[in-house]
Amino acid sequence: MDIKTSENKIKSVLTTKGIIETKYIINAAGLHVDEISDMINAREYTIHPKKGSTIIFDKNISDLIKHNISIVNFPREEHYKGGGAITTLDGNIQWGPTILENYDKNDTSVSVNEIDKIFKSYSPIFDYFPKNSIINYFSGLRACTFTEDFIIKPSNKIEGFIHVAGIQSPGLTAAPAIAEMVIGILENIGVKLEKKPDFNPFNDKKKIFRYLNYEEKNEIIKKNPDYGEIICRCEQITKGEVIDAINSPISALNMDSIKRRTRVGMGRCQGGFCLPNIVKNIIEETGLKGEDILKNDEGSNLFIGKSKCLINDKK
Amino acid sequence: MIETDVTVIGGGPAGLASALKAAEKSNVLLLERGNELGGILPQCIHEGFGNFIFNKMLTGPEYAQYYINEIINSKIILKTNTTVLSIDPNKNIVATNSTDGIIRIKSKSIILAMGCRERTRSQILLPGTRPAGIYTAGTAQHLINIDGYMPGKNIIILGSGNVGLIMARRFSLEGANVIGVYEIMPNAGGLTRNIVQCLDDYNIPLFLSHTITNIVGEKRVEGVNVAKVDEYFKPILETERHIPCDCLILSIGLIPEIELCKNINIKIDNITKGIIVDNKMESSFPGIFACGNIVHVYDLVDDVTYSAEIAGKNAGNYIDFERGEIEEIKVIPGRNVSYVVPQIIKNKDCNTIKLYLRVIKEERNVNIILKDGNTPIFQKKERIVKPPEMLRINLSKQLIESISNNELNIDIRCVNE
Repeated sequence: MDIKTSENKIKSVLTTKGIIETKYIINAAGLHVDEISDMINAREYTIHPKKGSTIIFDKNISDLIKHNISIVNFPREEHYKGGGAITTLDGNIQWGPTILENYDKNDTSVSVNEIDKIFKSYSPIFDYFPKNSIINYFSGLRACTFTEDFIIKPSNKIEGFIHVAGIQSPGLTAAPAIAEMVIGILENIGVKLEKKPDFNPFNDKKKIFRYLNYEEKNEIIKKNPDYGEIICRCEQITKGEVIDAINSPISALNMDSIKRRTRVGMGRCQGGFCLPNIVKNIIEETGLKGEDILKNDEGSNLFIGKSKCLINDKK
Repeated sequence: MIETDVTVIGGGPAGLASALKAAEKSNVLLLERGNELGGILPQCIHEGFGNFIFNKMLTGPEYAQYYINEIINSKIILKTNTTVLSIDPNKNIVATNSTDGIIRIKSKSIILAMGCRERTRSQILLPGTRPAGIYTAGTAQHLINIDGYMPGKNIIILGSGNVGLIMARRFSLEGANVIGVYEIMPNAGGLTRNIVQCLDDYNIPLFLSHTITNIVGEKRVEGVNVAKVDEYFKPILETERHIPCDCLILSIGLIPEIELCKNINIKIDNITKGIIVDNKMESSFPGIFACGNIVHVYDLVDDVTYSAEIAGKNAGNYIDFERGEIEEIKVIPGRNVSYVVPQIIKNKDCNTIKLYLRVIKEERNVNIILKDGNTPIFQKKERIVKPPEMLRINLSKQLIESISNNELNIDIRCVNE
């Protein structure tokens, strides 16, 4: 919410969960890096979001492309690689993304024009792709600066403030290298970094039901019968996986977070059949009330109340 | 490993009736993925089921209960909470549940009765944001009638399919404000009786040739933009207007749920998107039968039950043997006919056959004409035909035997032509 400095040095950060005293801040706030910099008058760039839309196809047509195909448009647009048709790690084919200047940092809606544009640029090559096999479409915003390049450097105004801004494509690929670069900058400005001797960077590998063979599936069901009950029929996700996500150390308590952990609702019915089951599981595991369950953020309640609530209101 | 004569996949109305019929002669295993039998019927608490079979209007749960009681009193082996994971080309089934773990099943014949699912927002490329408050009509029905939650207060319904119309009435009875039903086609998608009983009786307006052009709202739905469409279904921008609402219900069609068939070579109809069957409800794969909404989406549950009884009888009688060339008559949809089921007639020892067909466009004073090759052999007058109302034709044993070509063409022509 705010940053306190004194004599051009970082002192503390005010957050919604209290004040954190610190000497160093790494500003990796994506679309909002410029707003964070503004808090201490250390802005050296302006973010202008660029929207990218993609469409996702049903897994049952995944055989139609065997390779990842990139599309190069001529004349080439600056700072845009052209997108492509790729198979995601989970096996869906994805087309896109597009690129479009977008002033609103919160607007991730998908417009008809964007969907049409994707189809116009890809369907001449993949004319055998059935349009009715699209199962969803999404937009994201790239955090572009006007230099159209990564800005990774210490602030020249405030000591202890490090900019990690303008991270657009290939930001994800570059992330590990960016991290090392930031560590270098920290060391340069005098931070003493020590490796924890007992640090374990590895998570226990999760058992994902759909990737197990029948013997392994049987074994895991014997240990935990909840793994025998399929909740999401399209993606073959079990009740066991959903309950594990709800009860994990960082618990997933709303629809979208459970979806991202487990893939429930990511298939062709888009949650039509499994939504009521997941609501039931959240209630059973946490004691939350159904009407308090969210899709994602505060205010995104799935329901407005219990059945009959409107009739009772009128009385 | 379980060995049985007939395995029925799906415990909805089609699965229940086919299992009962097959069990008259064979050992039957019935698999249902939900925790209770009846399929979609338990959430259909309105009346309108069983007019033909029981001669009265029952509710969904009542209709289902009749068959559930019969199943409980039969020797059918029943497994609920059990999901089929795969069917292979040797008719081996693998299923899973929490008590048995992985179950392998070998059966002489299989009845596919997995029903259908609802089309989603993506299939009609509905643009906009992705807030809470967008549900398909069937999901909304489950939420209100089974789980006891209200999805919203000010409701817009897109699509005038039967489930959407039923839900317009249901939301009204729950005290919600149903702002309107918007349908992209120039005609309604549901049965006339539902337009009258669910919309007209509750003063809910139906806007034909309209669609939604944008969904607005960050956390919950805050409104939608609607517009009139032209004859090519493209929105006319000048007619676009914003309507505030907190809930969008989609009733934009049902598609047969055939995904389990992907590893077996079963022929699919391009129009119905369902399994192609012959007059014995047998698919193109010998020994695999199909009935109910996995074949095509029926208007009435009574017809689902009829189709299931045919599938059940023939699956129960099924004997695996090397078949020679069997004479086949293809039933071919002609003028103003969208599709016909069954798609194939096998001319050996069949009794009367009921053909189900759907028209492409509304017409008045027409003849349904059946042609043996090019020769008309049957004609039936209809005062009015509409796409949402399925037509039925009964073919007598005599008529079937008289067919000499291997094609039966069906046309719908205006009487004056």
